[in-house]
Amino acid sequence: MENDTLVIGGAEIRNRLIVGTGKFSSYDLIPEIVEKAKIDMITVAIRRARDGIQKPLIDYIPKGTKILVNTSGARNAEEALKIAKIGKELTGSDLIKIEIIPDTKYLMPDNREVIKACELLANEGFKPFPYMMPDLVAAKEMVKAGAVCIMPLGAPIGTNKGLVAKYFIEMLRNEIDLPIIVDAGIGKPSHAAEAMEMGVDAVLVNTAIATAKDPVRIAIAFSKAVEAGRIGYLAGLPSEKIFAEASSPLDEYLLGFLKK
Amino acid sequence: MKIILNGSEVEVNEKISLLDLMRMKNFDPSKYVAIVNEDVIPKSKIQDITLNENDRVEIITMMGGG
Repeated sequence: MENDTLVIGGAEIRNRLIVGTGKFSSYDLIPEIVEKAKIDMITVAIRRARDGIQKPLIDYIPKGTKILVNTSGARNAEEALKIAKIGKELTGSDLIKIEIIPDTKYLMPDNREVIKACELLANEGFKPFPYMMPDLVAAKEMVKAGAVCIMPLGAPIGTNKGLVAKYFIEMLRNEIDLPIIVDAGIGKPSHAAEAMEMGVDAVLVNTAIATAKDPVRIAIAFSKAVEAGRIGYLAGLPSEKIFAEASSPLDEYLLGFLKK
Repeated sequence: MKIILNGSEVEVNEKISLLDLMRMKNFDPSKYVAIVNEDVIPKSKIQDITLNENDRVEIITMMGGG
């Protein structure tokens, strides 16, 4: 597995588990997770600073970790661009996760605005990572608009329901020639493994790690599940059958011997 | 003079620079981004910006997010 690096918009990651930093009880958990689960990329949001005394999140992020700023809070493409510009000043990076969410109950992304945002931001030199409702037609538009990957939701943010949208994500995996990152809804390590076994390129997990009883330990479990799923996919999963097939076919000798 | 910092009125010296305001309020300019009247200020320009009466300054930072 030495050479299984994933490159997205020029950024290289070896660990295909991307970790979101929201909802943690303490930022102290973040460096521990990055170190122990060997995380290469994390996501962050931006907000107004409360004061200059409290240690900012950036001080908790180990050097060398790739930081993907999201545009959470944006309700349209223009707002996403404003946030992206601030994010770039903070991180020095062109990578931006486009999150445009007008719906507050299910936190559904607005695919139409996300397509617009991909174009607007790509034209400004950003590398858009669009968080989207898995829809093949919309994903193709995002590719045309300059996305560097596609981030379909597995299930709504924070629900831990797993791959509710599996079939629709499979369509993206089959038809889109960019990395597919399943983002949102992954609730347990087996969901992450299932996603990777499907052949998606990476998964993003936040709530399931941040709200577990032991976030560091579960991050390690997620990391291993992602790796296991990836290796399984690369190994080539055997096909499912309707009827049983014995693992050790009987031979003439044994049948004869048993009949005696 | 009075400026609006993160939504609250603040009294500052006339012609204070953005850099001095950030230092006064303990915002390390390498870790925060300033927006003055809707303009995102590049880090390299912080020291060149002089604030005027009623300027609206927002100080933005990273926070946890997915």
